Amino acid sequence: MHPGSDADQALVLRVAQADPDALDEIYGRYARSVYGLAYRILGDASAAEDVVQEVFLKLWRQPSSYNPERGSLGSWLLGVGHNRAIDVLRRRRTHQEQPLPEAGEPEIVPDGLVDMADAIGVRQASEAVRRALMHIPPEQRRVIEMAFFEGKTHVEISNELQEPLGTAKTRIRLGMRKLRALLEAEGIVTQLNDVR
Amino acid sequence: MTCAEVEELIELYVIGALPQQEGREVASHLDTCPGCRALEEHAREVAQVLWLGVEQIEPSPALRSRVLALVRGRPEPVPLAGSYAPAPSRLRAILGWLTPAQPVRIAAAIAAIPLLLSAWLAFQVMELRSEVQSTETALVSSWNTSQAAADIMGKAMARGGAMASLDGTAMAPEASGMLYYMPAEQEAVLVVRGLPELSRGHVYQCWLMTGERRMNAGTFYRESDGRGMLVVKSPMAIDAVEAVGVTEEPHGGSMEPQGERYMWGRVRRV
Repeated sequence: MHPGSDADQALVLRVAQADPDALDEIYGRYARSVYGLAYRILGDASAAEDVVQEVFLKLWRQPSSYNPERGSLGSWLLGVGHNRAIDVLRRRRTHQEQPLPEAGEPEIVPDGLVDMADAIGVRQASEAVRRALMHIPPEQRRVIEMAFFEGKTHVEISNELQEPLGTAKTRIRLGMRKLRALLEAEGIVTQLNDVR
Repeated sequence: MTCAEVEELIELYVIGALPQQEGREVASHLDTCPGCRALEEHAREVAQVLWLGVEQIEPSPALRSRVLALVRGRPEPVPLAGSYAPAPSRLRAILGWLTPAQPVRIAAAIAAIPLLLSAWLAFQVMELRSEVQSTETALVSSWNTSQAAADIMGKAMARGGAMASLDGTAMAPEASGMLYYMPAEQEAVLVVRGLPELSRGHVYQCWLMTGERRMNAGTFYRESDGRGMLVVKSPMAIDAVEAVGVTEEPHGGSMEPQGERYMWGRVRRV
């Protein structure tokens, strides 16, 4: 499900033609999500803003690095932002141990500034993701958060939770598969049959 | 790695939970296996929607202005190295003191003072005039530097431009920076933030690295808020450089990096 995908692709085409207003519109649609994700990972407003800037400048300089066949523009922007934020977090951790942001419950903030059609699609998807996360066992949710929002490998997670090496691996795998089943039921992700 | 092994690891792979070596092995298998690639794309869909579960937060309006100014080829004003901001008011204060009416009053005062004191005062006036000239020169130099920086950043933000990010080392864990450049050219702009204050008599120095070569790219001072900027001049095209680093050196800089490294970033993959 890619809310606003046709409109997004038209905007990317304009970005490729060096239209700054098109980038501004994309910024208006997705900056809140990218910033929210970066802030969730880094816990620092200034560092999160740097990530947002890098993400949108990457789209501006290399619009061809986004492939619409591989997913929505929003997912691509969030993917680039996630990777960059995790890089920053891992470098920080290598140099100095710092308290990481609390991996609290994800929240959804209703956003009245996005186009109504997009808002409905994104809000529905966000609520579905939130419900799905609440329906998987807490220990599976915890390790997925540690991997996804704190950039930890299954080895680091096992060490931190003082559990056998394979336990974190298994919990991540089972948690993600359970999430997929829940999100497939809501039509948020494609059925596996459609992919094979 | 076999397909069965990849299938067991694919969810960890898409959320970045695999150590580097394991991740490379999965990636290598995916390059040659369309079936596993399809599994990866499907698993990645779940990773992609995880982001939707995160609270949306409005960033500052200043960020939007900054991004748009950069893509419109008009870089936002950037901080300059050194303390140029207070200089104009100091200059005005000095120039204001040296108005045409002042020399007359100074001469009258000097005539009433013993010879030794008069000589001392004359010496002070000479020093002050020299400082005014130095300040004027510094201001003109700062202005030229800021113009050059704006030109380079404007080109870097346009089509074909490039940026390389720098991160702080253990000496400066909060530091970050960006090198703005046009790949085939030999000038760039380094903009940094979060740098710690150095002890007196020390300066930050930027180095361009290729193989074992360490090329001096210039020195700069840190602003009071930890920011700094440098127009970098390279002996080779910037995209031929492998990495860029920042060290602490004695005032005036060093021929080779001597001090601790504070920042580092890769310019091109080797």
